[in-house]
Amino acid sequence: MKKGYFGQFGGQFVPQTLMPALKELELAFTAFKKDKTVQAELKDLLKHYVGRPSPIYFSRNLSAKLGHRVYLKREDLNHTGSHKINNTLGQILLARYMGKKRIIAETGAGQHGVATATAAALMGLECVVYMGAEDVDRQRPNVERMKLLGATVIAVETGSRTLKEAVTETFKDWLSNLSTTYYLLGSAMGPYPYPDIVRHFQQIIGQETRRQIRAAEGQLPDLVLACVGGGSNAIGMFAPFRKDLSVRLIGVEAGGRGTKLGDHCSTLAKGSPGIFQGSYSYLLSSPSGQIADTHSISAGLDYPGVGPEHSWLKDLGRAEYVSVTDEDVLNAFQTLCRSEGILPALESSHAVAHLIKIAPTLPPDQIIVVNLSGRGDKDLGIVLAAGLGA
Amino acid sequence: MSTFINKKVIPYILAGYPNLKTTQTLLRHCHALGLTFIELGIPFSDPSADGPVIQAAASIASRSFDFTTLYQLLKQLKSEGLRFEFTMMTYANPLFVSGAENTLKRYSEVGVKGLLIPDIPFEERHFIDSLFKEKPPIQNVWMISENLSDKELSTIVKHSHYYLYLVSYLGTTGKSVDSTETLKTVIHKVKAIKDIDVAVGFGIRSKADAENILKFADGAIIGTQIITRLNEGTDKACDLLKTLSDNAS
Ligand SMILES: Cc1ncc(COP(=O)(O)O)c(C=O)c1O
Repeated sequence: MKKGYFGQFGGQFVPQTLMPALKELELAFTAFKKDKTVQAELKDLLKHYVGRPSPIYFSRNLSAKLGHRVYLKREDLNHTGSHKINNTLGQILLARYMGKKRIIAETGAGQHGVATATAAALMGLECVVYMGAEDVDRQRPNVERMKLLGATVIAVETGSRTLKEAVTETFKDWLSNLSTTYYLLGSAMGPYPYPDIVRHFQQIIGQETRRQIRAAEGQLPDLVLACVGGGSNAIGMFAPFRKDLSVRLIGVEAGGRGTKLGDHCSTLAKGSPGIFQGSYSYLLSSPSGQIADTHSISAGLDYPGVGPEHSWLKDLGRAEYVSVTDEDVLNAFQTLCRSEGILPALESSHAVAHLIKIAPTLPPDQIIVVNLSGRGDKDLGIVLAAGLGA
Repeated sequence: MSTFINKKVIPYILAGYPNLKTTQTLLRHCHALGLTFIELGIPFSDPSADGPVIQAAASIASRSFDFTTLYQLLKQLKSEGLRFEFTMMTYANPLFVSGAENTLKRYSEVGVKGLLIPDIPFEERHFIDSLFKEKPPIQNVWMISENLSDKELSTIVKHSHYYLYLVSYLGTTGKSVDSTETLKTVIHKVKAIKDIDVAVGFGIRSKADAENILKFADGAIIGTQIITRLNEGTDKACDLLKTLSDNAS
């Protein structure tokens, strides 16, 4: 495969002035992976700071209800409450390795922002987080957390005031501050080498799951599900299973409030290939090539693009990509709260929702793993406003 | 060989901002002033290399833009005998989605000679090539900047056959040029490799800026400032173009 590409997808679709920085990053990442001292430091942090390995939990009530053996991969139990910390600790060590003093990041739900602010605090580095103004409103607790952690949060007022604008503004900041600044990108998207870097740090999810499910069931799972925004928790879960063709992989996107362009974020399920934010990948754009507005109840999935490796897995037919509606998601959220005592992130609830939907159509007693990418404390305002808990 | 641009101010005209009628007015005005070498901006909803002024304008213009209507306008101007030399400046996705080969083939018939795609660097040029079964007669214009290594610069220059677009600083459009010394150094390196025109863009805000740049560069591209004036009124933008043409061509 051509370097930087997954089949025809990927590449480096950025202004020329950014190319030297991407080359610098690629070289540093290659050296970083071979540096034993820093790898040992990362391993230690993942164990003692994050709390890895995260458990897989046999969800007894959901399993009984659905007629399958359902396990939840508990990324919600990580320090800071989601899978995002796996990537931010890895990349913050890479930033330090490169001698960068200033960390910038985009965030949607605020989970990546919190995880970045946390890692920056730990390493004593300056941190600036760009967040769409709408997300600042709907994920308020995470904004306060980032500030407490010492980060500067910049509300982005352009366009749809969500994740895509936050990504654009972070790239622009980087473009103006290349020598001092490290862009700590939060999902498996963007220009090469970011999709590789983020997958590298997130694949620990799938690696652990493989071991854990073997220990629990003596075999690999029949089915693995994960939600897909930019695609980091999903690729982290899927990559270690890619060559196990008996394991069915399903990525679940946000179906939002309808199937009209602008009402959803089903990039892989409903979009077509295009060029956006650094890579050639599936994309939601208008017939004239303008980037579409999107909608999802979950800020972390509210994004019109997707990481290029998922586009490749889709076209290969190795993974399936589907979507569920906001309403399905709220029901799944409620189900997990009431049946397991677990309050999932709205993002992760997408994966649960799809499982609930297809469970009756599957052969009985399937071994299933759902990646529970994060916890839902940040979403209380949204679910209460939607009428849950009443 | 340096005869393409010939020490000219190159206006960046954002198509369809605030509407196509204004674009037509501006183009006629440019032509009357002898400003016939034009960067023709195609609006994009999410322009990653542009500062707030162009971004806001592009976002508005992108809502109603389509390649066919703009083509008809350019064809109309051509039929009236107005000759321009355009470089189309477009982000990759609108061009890609429109069907690049057909779009560029038609546009080449109405004066588009160059193609500048700010989110496709030289390293991804194969992607552009892959869009064509038969390449329309349009030249790629690559962006260069002070942070390229000598080797990278030399490769890009050798692959360029029209002119080069030198970005005056690292960042997005709409700030100000900080050091002309670095720009002179880059241009000097380019000319040592090949006799090819170099136009400088980003941060040129006034006739004084443009005159300063044209002392050592072949063209000076002015964009953000035209839109800033346009926001005050079409006549204000026309006044600016007049000033620029009087003093710098
Ligand atoms: C808990 C959680 N899951 C999933 C996502 C979506 O991102 P990705 O697709 O990169 O995993 C987010 C993003 O904010 C998140 O907070």
